[in-house]
Amino acid sequence: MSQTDSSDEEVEFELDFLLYNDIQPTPQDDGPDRMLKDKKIELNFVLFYLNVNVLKNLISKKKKLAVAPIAYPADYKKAMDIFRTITTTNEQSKRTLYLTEFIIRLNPAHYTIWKFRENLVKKGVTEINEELNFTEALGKLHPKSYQIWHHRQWLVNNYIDLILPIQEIEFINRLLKYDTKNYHAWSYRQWLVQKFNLFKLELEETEGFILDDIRNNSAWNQRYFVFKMREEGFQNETDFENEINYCISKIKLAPRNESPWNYIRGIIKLFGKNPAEVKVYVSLCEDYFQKNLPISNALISLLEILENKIKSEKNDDFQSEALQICDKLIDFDYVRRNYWTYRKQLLLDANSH
Amino acid sequence: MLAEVDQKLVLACLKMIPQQYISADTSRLTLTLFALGQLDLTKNLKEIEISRANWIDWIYAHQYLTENNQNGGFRGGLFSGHKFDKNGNYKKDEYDLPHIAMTYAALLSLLILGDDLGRVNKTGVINGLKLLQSENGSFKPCEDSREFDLRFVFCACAISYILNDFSGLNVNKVLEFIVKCQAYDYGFAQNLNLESHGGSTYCALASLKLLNKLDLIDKKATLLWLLKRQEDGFRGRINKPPDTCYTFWIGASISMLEGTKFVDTVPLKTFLECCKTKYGGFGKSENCHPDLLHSYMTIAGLSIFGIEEGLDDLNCELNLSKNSFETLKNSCNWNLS
Repeated sequence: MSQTDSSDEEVEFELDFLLYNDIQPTPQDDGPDRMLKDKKIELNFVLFYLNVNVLKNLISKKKKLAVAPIAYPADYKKAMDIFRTITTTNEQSKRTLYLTEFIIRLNPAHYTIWKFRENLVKKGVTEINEELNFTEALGKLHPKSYQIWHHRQWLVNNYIDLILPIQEIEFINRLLKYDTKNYHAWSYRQWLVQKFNLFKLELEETEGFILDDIRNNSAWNQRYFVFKMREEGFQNETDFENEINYCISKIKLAPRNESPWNYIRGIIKLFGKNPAEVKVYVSLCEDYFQKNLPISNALISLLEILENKIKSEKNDDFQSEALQICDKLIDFDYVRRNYWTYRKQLLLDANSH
Repeated sequence: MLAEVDQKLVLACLKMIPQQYISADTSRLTLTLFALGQLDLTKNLKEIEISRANWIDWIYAHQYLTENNQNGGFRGGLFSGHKFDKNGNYKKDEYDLPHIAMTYAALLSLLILGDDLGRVNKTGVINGLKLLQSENGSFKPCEDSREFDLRFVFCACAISYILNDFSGLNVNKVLEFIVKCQAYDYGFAQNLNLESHGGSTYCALASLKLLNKLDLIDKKATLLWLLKRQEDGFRGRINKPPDTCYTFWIGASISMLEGTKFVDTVPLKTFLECCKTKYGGFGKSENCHPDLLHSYMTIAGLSIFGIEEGLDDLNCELNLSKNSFETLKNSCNWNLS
């Protein structure tokens, strides 16, 4: 939460504080000064943060009552002092718009500033297109800020006539270039896909993301979301089989990649099938098992199938194969060996009753 | 000793923290919690005994206290321009509102400081929760927000549990929402249809535990999802690199499902050692700067897995030390069963 994200498009944004000369600043009231001092703590602190701003703060000011006060940069403090006053006067103007931009650039998580800015947009102090550009620039600087994404969504939702859905998808794609697993981007994207019924396009899009990075679990999740939420679901058996074959082809490319394994199990369940009846899936798992390859997800899938079979019919072959799988998992999935030992014991216990 | 060296940094941070933290200006109480929480778990609260009473007042100054009790809770910082008042107050404008995650952080911090929560306006807090639940059961953090998700469901459950009053939420709807957030791989996502995530899985399981409803889910499959997140340290999502904070998010979740005995703590410890910085404190991974969140979450994880001796036990569902949980049970004038 504390790191600022680096970016190749760092833009200098300076605020002309003279514009606000007539506004009486309201300083933050962080409580009375504290008289206590603890030299030891202070020394450790100075050693740790050899930072000019902090040192200035330490030397020039009395200790505050506050817990963990932040060493505010001077400009941030100055801007916030003005902001505190304008929330009272509720001045909606270009200069208050600039002020919000200045503060947001320093602290994009400041939800109160965003709220104030939202009111400025409603009032028409800025153009919608400019505001979209602003959120994009900010999104590149601070891709993990919740507020930017929520502001964007609010804009699109409220000024829907001004926005082409496909352009919004392109916007998200531009931001996903910086981090293809950005949780906020995918969350916003799901809202957009549902709002404008973009499921058909989205299925192709996820294919592209998976092609770029087969281990991008966000993209796999998005693909599942498409099948789950699109109106037609799976149209027929062929549709389902095609998806299983697609997934198996991806598993074969990188069999230790967990994403498509979870996905295939999810899709089988979504279609309402018993995994044991999906032959291509079962034979894929058995193939890895027979060849003694350390593909733990294949073994886990197989174990799941066998345990279900054991529940419905007692059969010594199933039992001994399940035990063999546990032994292999104890061996191959070493970090979880205690867990697989426990699962093996469960099988043995169930058999002895 | 992994946790011991850490206290130098945290004591410094309690005094003042560097400007890189300004993105936490509206959530300063979480920094307070992470700093005090470390001292609590490492049994070092005596180091700040001299400030205790003052800090309790400072936290109460964040309380949103109205005359009619229609809303309540805490703000995350004193940024809105209201006057400092050691009991709390409020400023009658739309830019000054309490935030549910900050209320959670405030209550925990007060308990850590040994406060009996006697000055908390309980009615206001509970009424405040009623303003935040959506039709589908999820919660937003404050009245004018649009961020409905599982994080704030957890905050609502934890606050209700601490105040021993669940009348501020529709519990059935909460349960319905949580169950729907379970993804196809059995991890939980932050919201419907999103990708499974260690942090959201913690929020889901802790909420269910606080509501005594863990039996609603497939615990076996959920536990396996959690155990599979271990590489050496824990990953928060499938195919993402390990990160120290998941020692808590995933670790506490595993603990609530009684699976800590299945975790191999040897590579975990090695990973955490690599993330320890020369300043004390932990970064999110190797060669990262230390910060309060990752330091706290690492120490909480060390406690959960018993990797280091001498740490207090953790109540995983509240994210509070056993010692401070005793304060809640024994000092607050409502009795927890």
